[in-house]
Amino acid sequence: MELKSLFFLSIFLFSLGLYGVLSRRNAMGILIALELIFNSANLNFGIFSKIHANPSGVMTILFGIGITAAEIVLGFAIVILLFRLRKTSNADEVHILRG
Amino acid sequence: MDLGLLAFIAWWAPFFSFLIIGVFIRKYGKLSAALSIIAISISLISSIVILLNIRALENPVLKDIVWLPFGTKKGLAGPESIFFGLFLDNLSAIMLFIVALVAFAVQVYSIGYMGEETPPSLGRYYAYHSLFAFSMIGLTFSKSILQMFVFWELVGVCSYLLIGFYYYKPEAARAALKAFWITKLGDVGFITGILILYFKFGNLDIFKLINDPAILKSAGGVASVILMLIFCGAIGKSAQFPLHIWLPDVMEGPTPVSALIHAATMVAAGVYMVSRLFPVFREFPDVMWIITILGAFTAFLAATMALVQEDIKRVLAYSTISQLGYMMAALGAGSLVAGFFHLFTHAYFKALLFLGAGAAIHAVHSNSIWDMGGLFKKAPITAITFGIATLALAGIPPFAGFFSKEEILVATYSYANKIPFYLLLITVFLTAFYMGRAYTVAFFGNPRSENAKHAHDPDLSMKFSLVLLAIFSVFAGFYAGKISHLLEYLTAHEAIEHHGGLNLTVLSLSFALIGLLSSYYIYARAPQVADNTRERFSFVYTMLQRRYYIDDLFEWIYRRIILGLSAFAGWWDRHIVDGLVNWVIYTTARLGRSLRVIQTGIVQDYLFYIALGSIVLLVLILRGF
Amino acid sequence: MKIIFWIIFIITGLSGLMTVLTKDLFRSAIYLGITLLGSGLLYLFLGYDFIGWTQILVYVGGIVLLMIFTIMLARESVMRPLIITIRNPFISGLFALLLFLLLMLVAKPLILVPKGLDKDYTFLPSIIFKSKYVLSFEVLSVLLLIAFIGAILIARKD
Repeated sequence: MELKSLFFLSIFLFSLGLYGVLSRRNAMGILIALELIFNSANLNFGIFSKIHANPSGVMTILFGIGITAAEIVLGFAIVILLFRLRKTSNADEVHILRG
Repeated sequence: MDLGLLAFIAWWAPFFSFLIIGVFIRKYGKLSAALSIIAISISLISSIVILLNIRALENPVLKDIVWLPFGTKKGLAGPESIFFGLFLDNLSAIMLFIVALVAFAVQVYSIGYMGEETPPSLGRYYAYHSLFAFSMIGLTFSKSILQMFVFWELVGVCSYLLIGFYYYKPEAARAALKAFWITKLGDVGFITGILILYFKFGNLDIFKLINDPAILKSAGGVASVILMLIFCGAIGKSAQFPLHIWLPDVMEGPTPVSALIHAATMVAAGVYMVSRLFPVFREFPDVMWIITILGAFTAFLAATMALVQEDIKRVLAYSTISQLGYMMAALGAGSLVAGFFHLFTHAYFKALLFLGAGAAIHAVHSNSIWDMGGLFKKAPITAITFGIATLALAGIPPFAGFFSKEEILVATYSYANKIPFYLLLITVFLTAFYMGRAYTVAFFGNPRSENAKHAHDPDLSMKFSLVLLAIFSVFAGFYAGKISHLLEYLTAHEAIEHHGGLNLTVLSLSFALIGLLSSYYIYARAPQVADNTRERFSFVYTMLQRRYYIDDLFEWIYRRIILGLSAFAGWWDRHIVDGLVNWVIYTTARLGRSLRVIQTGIVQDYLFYIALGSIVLLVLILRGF
Repeated sequence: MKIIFWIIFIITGLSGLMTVLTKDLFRSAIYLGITLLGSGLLYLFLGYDFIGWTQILVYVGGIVLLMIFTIMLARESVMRPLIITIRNPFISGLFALLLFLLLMLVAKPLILVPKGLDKDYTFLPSIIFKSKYVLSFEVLSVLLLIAFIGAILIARKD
């Protein structure tokens, strides 16, 4: 019962994060929404680690937190650089890779 | 004395001379000339030593290394392997002497003749000459037919380079290309023959072939085809009908080069090849018959064309074709001695003729015999040596040509079919006539041009070569018995039956004399006879002038058929092949243009695609794939 | 206990919702912090004490703080809040909803009766340092170090 509801919460947070990532224009907003997705993934790992009685899932959460920290640090550094260079922090205004 | 080593030195000395000239000292013309002449002198001296010790050659000297190993077992090359090596016997020893002597004379002569060239150009000239000598000697010593083919092609390349020596002259470049391509036409047959021979019999070794021709004989028809194909190479190289058209154009090169090509190297290669394989050819009467009739026909055809040429070098060129026809006819008629002996004598007097013509041209600055005249008084040495060669070519005793031509006539006379004999007999008259005409017009009478009045003998180096070759032109004929004796091991007791004997000699001699005298009479005393005849038989004259339209035929084939095919191939390539490629390119580009729209460069749009992909995947999972 | 679990559960869900719905970036970050805090507490209920506290320390204490600082730095003035504008809201919403439903459907049979509910992960550090994960852990620390150096390099003013 607990696990099922937690699983529901994890998927709910994932969908919210997806919505945020897809719809927000501000790069920092996107990164925040991305955090939601990571969090839901970590939660999922915890749930399934419990179900299968396998410590690998727990370990993965630990690694996930670490990697997320690194990713966010770099992401924000890039956003600051972007803001400094382009005077904007909107992701859809940067499209020099357009085909 | 190790004759093999000596032959090896004679063979490779010109090659090292070529390397050193080509790589290091090309810029210094005189030095290159000296080196090249020293190298060919080494070859000449070696060849003389070999000839002096020829008794030691009762067993041929064979030295080889494995070139292309086939069927190797336990590190030993199998019997099908192809060898690269030296094959020195009486025949190749004599041939080596011919090549070395003529090349030597020509190279010495070139010092004077080419003296006005710039040093780098002279260096290039001598480099080519050295390479030419090396290739021809290599061909002479070839142990396997494939090796012979390699040197055969090298000879072709060298003649291409030398004919096109004045590459900035469009005619010379064209003539070089023509010589190269026409001879290639024959070489296609040659290499095809070699390949069939190899795959059929697994043996390309000349020594084995000529010692055991029975193997081929037992194969019957295939062997005939092989030999016929191999003979195609000789048709191209030795300028037999219908591939003779390249030879007259060789005169676009420097005159000494013409002498070399016409006398001892390029065209002699074909005759030498047939002589080398003579014991094999002899086993196939059908092939021999073709060789005979083709040779005799070529001899006659070329002689008629020589009648109307005005360019002295062209007269000599057609006479070369004609004489090569003689040699082929003799070989075909079954007489190796007659054919090879004529090659031997012809080399000297034809080289002499060309060198003499070169001296005359040098003096008059024109190729046309109608610009010369009266040179006998102005340039006596040129005139006398040229005269000796003329008499030799016409077949007047005691000069060299008389003896060799005599043997050929005897050989063809004893041949079953008499047509070649009559053709050759008429050609004796024609030869004497056109040579007499050229000599009379060029050397007798009054000078016909301003330059001819100030003509003079050439300088020392040219005179030296002329006299040297003149000596051989006089005395080479006396070696008939010697050469016949030396070649006995190849002819297998060839019976030279002297049918007709004295009568034949009288007949041919009278033909030659009539030819000479009548031409002298017509062109020195009664020139109106020539004009009248020309007017009356103008169509014949035109036909001869147009060289029986054979050149035109080749040109027509080239222009209409080959160029037409090429044009079609070009059209096909441009429109069909390229069109296909262009269509692919165009379609790809259009597809790319329409697809690039989705590449917006905005991160979130890509995330949309990822989400879409996830949705599709999940749907698939739900449906259980 | 159960009541506390459900209260935390609902707070986490609602603050997650507010994280994406709010227009102010600053507030969004704060809501994110609450969501992460809630998740961390929920780990405790699963018996993952170490993970839960790590999550709270690293995420709420570190990352959210970093975000807030950055947002403050990127603001043009202290007085005006950073407003998040929205593009393609309906398509995004549709996608999110679709994925939500599909994931629920797909994962439903995967939620089984747990086998290891009685397993104790309280002393996770001892597990880490006694097991095969120790090397990966070291590598992770190196990765973090590199990431921080990289971030400094990228963002510094030169």
